Amino acid sequence: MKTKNFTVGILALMAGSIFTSCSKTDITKISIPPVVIGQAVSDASPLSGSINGTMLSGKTYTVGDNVTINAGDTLLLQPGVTLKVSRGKTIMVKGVFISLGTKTSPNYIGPDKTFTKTDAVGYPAAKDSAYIGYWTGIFCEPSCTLLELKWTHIEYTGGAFGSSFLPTGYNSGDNAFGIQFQNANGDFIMEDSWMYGCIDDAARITSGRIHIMRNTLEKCGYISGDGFNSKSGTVGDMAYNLFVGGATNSTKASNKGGVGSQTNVNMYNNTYISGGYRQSDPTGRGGSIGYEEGARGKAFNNLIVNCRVGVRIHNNPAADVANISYGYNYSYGDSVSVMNMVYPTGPTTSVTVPQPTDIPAYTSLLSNPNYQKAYLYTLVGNECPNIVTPYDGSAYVKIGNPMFVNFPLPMTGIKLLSDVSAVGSFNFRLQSGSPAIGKGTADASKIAPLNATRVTNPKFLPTEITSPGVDMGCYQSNGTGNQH
Amino acid sequence: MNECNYSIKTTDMILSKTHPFKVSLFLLFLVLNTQIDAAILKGHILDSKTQEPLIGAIIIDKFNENINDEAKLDGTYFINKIKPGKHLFSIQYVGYIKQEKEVYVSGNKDVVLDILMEPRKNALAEVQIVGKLDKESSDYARSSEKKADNLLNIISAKSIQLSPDITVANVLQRISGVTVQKTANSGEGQYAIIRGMDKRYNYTLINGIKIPSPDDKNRYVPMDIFPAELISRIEIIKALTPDMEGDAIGGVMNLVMKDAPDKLLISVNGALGYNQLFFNRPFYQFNTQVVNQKSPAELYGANYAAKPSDFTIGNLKFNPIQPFPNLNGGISIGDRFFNKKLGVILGVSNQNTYSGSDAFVAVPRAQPNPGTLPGFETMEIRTYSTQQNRLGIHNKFDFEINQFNKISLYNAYFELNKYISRHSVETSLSTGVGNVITKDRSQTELERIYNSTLQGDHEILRNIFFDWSAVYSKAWANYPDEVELQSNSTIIDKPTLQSITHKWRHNTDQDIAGYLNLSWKPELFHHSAEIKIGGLFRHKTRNNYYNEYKLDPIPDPNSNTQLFTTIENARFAFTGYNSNLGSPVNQNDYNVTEDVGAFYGQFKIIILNKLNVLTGLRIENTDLAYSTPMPESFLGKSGIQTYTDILPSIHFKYALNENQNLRLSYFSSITRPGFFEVIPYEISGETFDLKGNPYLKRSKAQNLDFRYELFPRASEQILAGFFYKSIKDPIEYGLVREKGPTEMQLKPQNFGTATNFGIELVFNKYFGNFGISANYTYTKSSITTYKKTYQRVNPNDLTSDITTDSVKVTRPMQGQADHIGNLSLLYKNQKIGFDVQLSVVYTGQYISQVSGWQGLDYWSMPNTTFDLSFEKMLSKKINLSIFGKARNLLNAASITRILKPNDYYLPGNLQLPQQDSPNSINVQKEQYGQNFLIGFRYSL
Repeated sequence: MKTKNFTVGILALMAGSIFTSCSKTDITKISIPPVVIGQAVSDASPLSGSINGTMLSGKTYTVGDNVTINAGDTLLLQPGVTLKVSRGKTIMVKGVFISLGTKTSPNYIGPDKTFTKTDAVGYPAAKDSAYIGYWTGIFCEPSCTLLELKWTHIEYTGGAFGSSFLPTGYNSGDNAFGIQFQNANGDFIMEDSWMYGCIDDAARITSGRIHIMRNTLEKCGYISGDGFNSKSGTVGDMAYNLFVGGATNSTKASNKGGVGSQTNVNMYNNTYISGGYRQSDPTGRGGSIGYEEGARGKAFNNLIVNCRVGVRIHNNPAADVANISYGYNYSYGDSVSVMNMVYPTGPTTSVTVPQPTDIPAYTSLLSNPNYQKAYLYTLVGNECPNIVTPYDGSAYVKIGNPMFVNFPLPMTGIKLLSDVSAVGSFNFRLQSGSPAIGKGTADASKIAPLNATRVTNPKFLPTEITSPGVDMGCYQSNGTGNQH
Repeated sequence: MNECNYSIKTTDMILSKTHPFKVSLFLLFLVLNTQIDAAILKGHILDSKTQEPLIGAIIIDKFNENINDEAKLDGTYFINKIKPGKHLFSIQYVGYIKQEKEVYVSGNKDVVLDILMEPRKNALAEVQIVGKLDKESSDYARSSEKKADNLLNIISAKSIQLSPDITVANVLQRISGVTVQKTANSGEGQYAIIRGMDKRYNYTLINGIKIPSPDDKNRYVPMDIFPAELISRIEIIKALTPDMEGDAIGGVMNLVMKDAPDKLLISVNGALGYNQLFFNRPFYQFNTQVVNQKSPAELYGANYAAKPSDFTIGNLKFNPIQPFPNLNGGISIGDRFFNKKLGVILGVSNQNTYSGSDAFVAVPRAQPNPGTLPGFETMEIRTYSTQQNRLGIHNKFDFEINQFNKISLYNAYFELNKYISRHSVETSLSTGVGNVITKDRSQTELERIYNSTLQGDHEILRNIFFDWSAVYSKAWANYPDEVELQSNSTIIDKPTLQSITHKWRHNTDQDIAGYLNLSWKPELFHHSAEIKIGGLFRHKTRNNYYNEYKLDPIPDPNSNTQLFTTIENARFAFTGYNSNLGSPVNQNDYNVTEDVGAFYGQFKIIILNKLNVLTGLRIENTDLAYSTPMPESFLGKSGIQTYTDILPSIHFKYALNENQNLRLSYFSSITRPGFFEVIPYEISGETFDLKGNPYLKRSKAQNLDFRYELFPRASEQILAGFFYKSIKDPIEYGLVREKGPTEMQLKPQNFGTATNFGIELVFNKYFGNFGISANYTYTKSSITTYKKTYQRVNPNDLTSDITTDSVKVTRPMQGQADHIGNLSLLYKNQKIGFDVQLSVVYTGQYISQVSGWQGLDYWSMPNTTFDLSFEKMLSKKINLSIFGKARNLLNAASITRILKPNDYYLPGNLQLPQQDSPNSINVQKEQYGQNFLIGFRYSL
């Protein structure tokens, strides 16, 4: 048995020790047996058809043809599993899918061939293998009760479904999302994981209880598509995620679909870099945070850099504006077009109210009655007919460089803001002198985790519900937050 | 009828063809008569038995052909300035024995003379005589309605010829209780709703034989495929007898095609027309020749990886043109040979028309605003240009082997090719308010129906009759390369090219059927009775093909979008693995076989001279099997539905006197679900995805009819009726959430029991040369279905959750208008051969589209159309006439509304245009322009 399996426990202990490091403690280590469910899955030949059981640490498995985890069945990936998927194939989950990667032994789910990542700044999307849409992702049918991904890479998704294996309601030729989850009474847990390259949404949560924390998404969406796109009945947190070069919004909540319960999503301490530029359709969708059509939630402590659009509280179909709160969001832009859209105006219309706690604070708008909450939130027949009218944000261009550890701001040697779409050698942690440090809020009355998932098996609980942190974005100077 | 006190002399002119030359005597008398007094001769020309007026019967002075008249609509004639003395008048009418009457006029005393004509009695073929040209007349229609055992309405070829309509669909709207659904792209009628029952509840026959539909999903036949001029009459049968197929709850449309005439008949007509729409704007035409008839997968195999160069851009180039005039032509040739034993008729009709519509549409969002208030995605201005080419060919041979045995072979072929271009400019009312989306779509719709029926009629023993039909029918539809080009722009962004989808779909539906009927007509209680048994077997095979290819724009260098300039410059590519294969497995693909076996027995008897009773039972057995190309893992990849229905009926007709009937009918009937509806598919629709329902049951109805009929004279009638229907498991679409939690789908479902009742009034009356034809139908139906609401748990607490719920809502059935009325004013001057008709159709408001949300149904607003038509005989000698039809004189707009208070879409708030009422929201407005047609008709 590999020692890597202990990492979960060790990590938990380490995390604990950080918080309680004020006193010296004795160290006790006991081994935790690896998690096993059912029989071990054989790695002898490519997988196809129904699968369940445990994929063992260190092994490499190949999905040769479409696979299904049937209702009632579970597929468990121990740490350090590599799962290679053949072109155009689907992992369909009707039961439970759990991938327990660790920091030291992450899991990998991606193509059965190796692509060279072309992460050079400005590499044209049309030639980028990230948008090849190699396989059709993890598709959870509504019967899936739990999709859990920890320290797991998911790469090169978004292919079109073939002709022999179709999820409910899909035709061959339809493009797949990277991940689809659709059970209002199910749990979708995604922690410390990575998604790289997809055609449409990275994860479409048509409904569900969610815990999405500390992940990194790069190059998600080819010419449209959101990062985490949640629809009606989705409840939970999206926090401490890093998004680089998302096609449209990176975190989005909508109540479209009208499930019995209302969408309620908190988005806090996320970092958004150069989002919203790969939209063939300039209808005015967002570029970072989006609340739409009847959704409620809270958005605080987010760091939004050179994104096409800031926090977007949509006016029509209107988000549940009466029940959305936001503030302490930090925006930086190298161009006036960015700073004119911090509070989105046409074509990305919104009713986002400038907040005095935002950085920079748009002081002239704060005193203008046309940008007051009372004005913007006038409800006519439950609609917000008013939208934010254009303003001049030029005074804030290149103001308030958040001072990333390794990312040139103002961007130099980069032609277009949209040219940045991957982390590569960049490092989006904050330098110690960053003006973004300590400007957020940890006030639980303003923002607190919803902690919505209801997993009871202690082996599968979220590793950590990271509470809002005072440093803007996903990296905290105390080491908490995003661990990538 | 008094015989008058004149000496009457009748000569059967058929038997003695030579003129009776008693002329000189009368001539002498006339010459001798030098009085200058003049009198009037007037009276009626009537059928001796039925007292029906014989419209158009000619009375003529044998010695002065200038003294003549024709019987008018009410059977009257009028000849003035008759000189005193003895006259000899000849009276003739087709199918009747020619008469001659001597009339003595003394001084200026007016003479009243009613003439009773004897139908030509000919033991050889009485039916044929009655049926001569006559069958196409309104008289025949009325008398058939009167004589029928069950309830029907008939519109005759003569009425059709004079009507403003050139397609059967448009003719149907003139019939009582019928409304016609129009297509958005041309304003032409397409489907009939009978007594408020949607198209699914009705079926279509040609010469009594059910025909398959080219529709890719449903059973109902688009009625605009039939050119009106090939039709001898249209029967709308509203009560089913056991010998008819039992799957109609609203009614049956039987198109009776023209029969071979008695002697050589050639008729030709040609007309030119124009739509006023294209005086004001161009017609946008695409090159129909370059449309790829087959998809790349069909051409090169299913595994072919398509390239962008495999797709034409020819059908995305739209040229503004001034269209040619509409052409409308037909020829019909018929004769009888071999001692009149073999009859042949061939009719061809071709219509090429350019029509269109200008429409305003507010497209609703799938999900309303909280409070279940309507929200809109876009508002659009749509410009349709539709070219239609309609071809109908029919041909019939009938052969009389001997007086007991007849066979006939009937072939009909109908083709309707539509080329529709749509230019739409959409303004977003939703995400990116004010953004402009420009779309150009081309559609090629090719539909065909073929029917071939071999029929035999035999009297195998005295009073025992046997008839049979062997039927082959097929319907095709082909919709090659439907494609739409889209570019989006905003206030700051130039238009950028969007993804494009090429779709190919085609389907066929083939019937092989046999019908057998055996009847015995004994004499019972001094009246002829009838015992009839029979059955039918039909084997149907239906295939659907669907494939689509989606291509994405290639971003410009240093950009993530592609600026749109022209289609020639647009560059597309496939993205994502497999996408270049198209959609080889698509949920629109399916095959169906359906076997229907039916048996019936019925009994008809006349009791006490007055009461006609027809009763019996029909048993229909349905065996449907479908298969799909879906993978094995797909629940419902294939399936069967088998069921048997026992359908009793009884029809009473009580003759109050010679021209008044009371009728009472009860019948039980069904409506089968559409073929596609029972397949558990999910396909994307305009607002919602559509989902099939393999557990969908047929609707079963109990139908009751009561009618009073008064036939004062032929061509005249007063009908007053009441109907009641109870429909178990009616099929309508409701919103479900079965795909996943977010997506809602529209799914056909059975909804409890619906009821439908109404009153029908028909009135036809003639005053001399003027006639009025009117009908009115009141209908009230109700159906209770689940609808969704979307609102806060506590509407007064703004912090409470927004939730979706279901409520039961009772409403009228889709397509049912409370009030339907028709009024035609007719002027018919037989003497100068001039007919003119003004027709008005009123359709009250009805639900045109049921919403899954409470209160958001689309209501089609009351609509009145005026049409005018005329025909003028130019020369009686060569039988040449000129005719004209002007349709939609007022260019009446079709308006659709959501009946919700319009508090925030009025100008000043969200500025949805075209709003004019605080109580409703105008969501659709279409205008089609006036249509004019003028032409010539010649017959030999």
